[in-house]
Amino acid sequence: MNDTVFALSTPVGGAIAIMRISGPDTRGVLARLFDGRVEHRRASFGRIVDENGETVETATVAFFEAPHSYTGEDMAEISIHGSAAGARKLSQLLTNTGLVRAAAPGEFTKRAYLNGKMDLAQAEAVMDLISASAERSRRAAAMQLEGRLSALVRGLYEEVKSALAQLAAYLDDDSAEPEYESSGIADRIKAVAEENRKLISGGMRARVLREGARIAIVGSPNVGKSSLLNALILRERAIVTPIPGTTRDTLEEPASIEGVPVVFIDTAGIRETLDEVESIGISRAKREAGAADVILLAVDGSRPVNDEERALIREILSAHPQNTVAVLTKADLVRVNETEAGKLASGLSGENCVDAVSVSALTGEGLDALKRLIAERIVPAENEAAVTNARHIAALEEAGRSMEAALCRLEEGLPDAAFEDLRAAMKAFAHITGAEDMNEDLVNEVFSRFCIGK
Amino acid sequence: MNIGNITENYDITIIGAGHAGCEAALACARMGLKTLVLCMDLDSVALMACNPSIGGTSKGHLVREVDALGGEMGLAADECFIQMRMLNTGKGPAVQSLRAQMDKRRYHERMKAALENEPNISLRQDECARILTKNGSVSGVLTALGAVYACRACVICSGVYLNSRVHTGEYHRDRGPSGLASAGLLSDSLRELGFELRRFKTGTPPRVSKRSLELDRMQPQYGDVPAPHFSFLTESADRVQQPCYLTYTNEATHAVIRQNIDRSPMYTGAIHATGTRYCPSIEDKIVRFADKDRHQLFIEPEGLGTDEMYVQGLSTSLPRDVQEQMLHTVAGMEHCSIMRYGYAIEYDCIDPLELGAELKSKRIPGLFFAGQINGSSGYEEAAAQGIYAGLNTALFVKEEEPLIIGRGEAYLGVLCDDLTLKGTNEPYRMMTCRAEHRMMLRQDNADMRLTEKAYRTGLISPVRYDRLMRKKAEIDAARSALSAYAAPGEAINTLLEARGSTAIRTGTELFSLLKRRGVAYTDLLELFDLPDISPESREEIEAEALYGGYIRRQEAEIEKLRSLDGMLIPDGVDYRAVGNLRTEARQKLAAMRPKTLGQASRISGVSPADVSVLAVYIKSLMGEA
Repeated sequence: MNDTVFALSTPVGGAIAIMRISGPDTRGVLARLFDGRVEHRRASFGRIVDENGETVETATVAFFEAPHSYTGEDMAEISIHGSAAGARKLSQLLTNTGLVRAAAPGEFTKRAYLNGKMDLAQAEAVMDLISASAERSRRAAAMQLEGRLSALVRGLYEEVKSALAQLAAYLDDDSAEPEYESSGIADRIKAVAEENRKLISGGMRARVLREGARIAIVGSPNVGKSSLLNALILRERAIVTPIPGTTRDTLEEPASIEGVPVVFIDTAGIRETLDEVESIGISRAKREAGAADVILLAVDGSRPVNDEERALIREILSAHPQNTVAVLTKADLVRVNETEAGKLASGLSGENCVDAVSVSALTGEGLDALKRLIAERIVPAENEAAVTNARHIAALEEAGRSMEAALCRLEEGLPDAAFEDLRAAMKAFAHITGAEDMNEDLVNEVFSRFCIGK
Repeated sequence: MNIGNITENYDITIIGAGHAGCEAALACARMGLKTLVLCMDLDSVALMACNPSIGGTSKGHLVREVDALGGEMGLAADECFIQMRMLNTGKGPAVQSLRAQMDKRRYHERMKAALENEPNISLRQDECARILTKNGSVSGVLTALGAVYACRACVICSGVYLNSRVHTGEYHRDRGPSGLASAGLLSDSLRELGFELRRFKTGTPPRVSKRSLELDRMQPQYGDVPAPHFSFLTESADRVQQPCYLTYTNEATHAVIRQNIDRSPMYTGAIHATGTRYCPSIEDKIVRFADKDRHQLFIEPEGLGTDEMYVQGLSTSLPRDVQEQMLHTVAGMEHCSIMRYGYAIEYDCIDPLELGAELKSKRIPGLFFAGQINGSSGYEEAAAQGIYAGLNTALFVKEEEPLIIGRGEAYLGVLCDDLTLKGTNEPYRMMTCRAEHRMMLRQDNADMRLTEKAYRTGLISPVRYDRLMRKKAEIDAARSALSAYAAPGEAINTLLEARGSTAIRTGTELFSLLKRRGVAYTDLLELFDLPDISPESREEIEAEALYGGYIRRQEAEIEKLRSLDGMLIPDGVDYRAVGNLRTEARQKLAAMRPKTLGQASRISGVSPADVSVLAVYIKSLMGEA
């Protein structure tokens, strides 16, 4: 347990982000990336610099010397401005030092306990924390990586495993005349590395942090989409009239929810229409819905839903069940139609597992609840899950570096060294996909594909 | 049961004298303990019942490790080989391995002589019928001939002989390998002691008469000149060597097999046991790799004094006539005459999850197991377990701490760790890719990894120890000399360019020049003031230079492993009381009862979070105490 770990100890997107580091290399890490003074029980102001000595941002660093710290080890808290992108950049810099790794769930507390910083009565609570955190981050990983992204990482893992099996067969093949070759392995690794790069740079999480999560407001005409937008961004951005079809084109407006950048997209109400301009707007609306990270499906809560609306609701829900939030608008008028709205809400949330919330753009009722629902979809639910996420990105980057190294070693004619790098890449992917026993998995792959042995 | 008077007293009884039994016996005897070796047929001591070769990828590593611990296999192989070859030379030092063709008769005689010459060993032809216990601990053995030998510990090395049954087509008999007898008595005794026995299977190819082969139609393969050797004690092993021969199966061979597949006992259902994927029978290969149009066959001489040749790659249990037919389709074997037919053999073995790290039964003090009884395959795997179980049995009898060799220290460690923590569902074969730290676990540094560690056992002779110290001193001297700087100059730059490397323009550390691919220590020796060191020391230094980064990384991983393995789990932990373990982890831990947190972490189904929970729980237990 004498390595050094780090974790973000504040929720993503607060005003301040605090990164905690604990372990024997804490001073070494700070020496690499912080130019301020490092003294016991002293907070100092300074600059965070990258590998090239360029200033990344300013920070306050508090340092605690072992054993006089929370964990009982050398420990530091780096406080920076609270943008998610800043926190991410800092965790990348930390990882790049090669001296620290992302902490496991509950690890700080565990270290504190093992170093005698807590009394016996707290042991039970610590174990609770570790197992609960592990379970939560496992679930978070499963949920965040649901669908496409998860399949992609799994695919990369399988591809690396397959290349590795080929290399293993080649290296372990002791037949009199080599039956297996290493040719073609480099090309396969290059392809995986390229996919991995795309995943890192174009991956959902990275893009969200860089460009903001895209949140499309869609629904039938005149259900209050534009009013909802204005209420969410707290100003009169969209033109609001009682006339259906007022919004003809999509409208984008940047904002921030719980500190994470978002872009709200107001869209044209979707209906059958002969108006050419309006129908272009409608097809754009559908496209935006398809590309959005979160869809706010606006339904007028003050009147019964008609057949056309019902069809639209079904269409959106069946196409995007994971990331849709149903918003019942005009909650200030709703009393006349409570049962209808309630039925819709429970029907939606029960059957399709879609969250529904009643909102009044006029009174502001329900807006906070809506923001929370949005945040849940773009910001990992809590602190621990956010760390998990940083860990995933770190894992993908680690896999990328390992594959680059493997390619160099193959080039140099050192396939045995390439194997070690490739195994590190596989391990990094397994970190995300949670493969059970990587070694056994690899041996099985070798045996199933290659006829090796006497 | 009324057991008669004690016939004789021993410290330790070794049951079986195959590759595991011989190493176990020698280790115990050399550690000063009175050792009885029971073997059903003294003409089959250290019998190479399958192929006449020792070593190969990862197996060659094991032989070197057995040698580094003071074992016999490497020395015997160095004396009895008729061909020696370093494999995988183009793939980097970590996967290079030695393989030797043996004169198998000589090997048997050489190994038997080693046992006979050991004053502490009594070698006796008899069959063990029963393990005797007193108060739950081993107290002796009862033999088929009615002798009762008292002893404090036993190592069971029964190989493939327990209730063994051989199959060739429709022929099924309760036999051991090569027509030898099967051991029918011990299985019941093991069951009585609470072991659940499993059925594994392996096989062997036909042996053919050399004079019936047209060897000039095959591709000969010769040994290396000068011949390398296994043992760190062997000075030189050069001699006249025998070639092996390469040929291939073809479509016609495969057609014969496919037409007769229904007559294979593997497919008729006569065999129920689990075979190894590593050593598949030819019929298995044809079925599983249907797209391969040929399989390599490697024809190996069985010895100098015999005409028999071993057909590696053609392990089979097809009927006699099919074996003839298929061999006759192979180039150079059209008229070959089979001398011994191939067969499959099934046998009883235990589940190695029953064993602790040192191959000792977790339930019965004094009972150790080594070799194929533990679900492994191969002579080298057996020998490695043999010496490991043997020296730990001796330490047990002497009431000393066991010697635990971890995954980070040796292939032997990987082998025993895998067997005892992960278990196996087929005969387990060593492979280099099973070792996570193989850049460190090279065949050239087995002595550096193990010899000092085993010093306290007394198995390390002064000669062996002195050699290691000399090697270490040489390496240290070379290391410090290599920290000198080379000034750019014509001589060095001509050399670098000749090696396909780029010229230097500023002063450069010699060690960093050695990191360049193609630059050897001997190259630098010509130009700079460096100590002239042995080839073995050069290998070490060159590997350090070439793999520096990898070695450091793996060292760090090994260190982590060691610290986890240093955290002991108290004996009586009640896993039901550890509330936060996942159910699967709790069941596995309760069943396996690992000794250290490191072992716990390597049990499949135990997650890192479970290990953390366990760490905290153990700490809290210690706080209470």
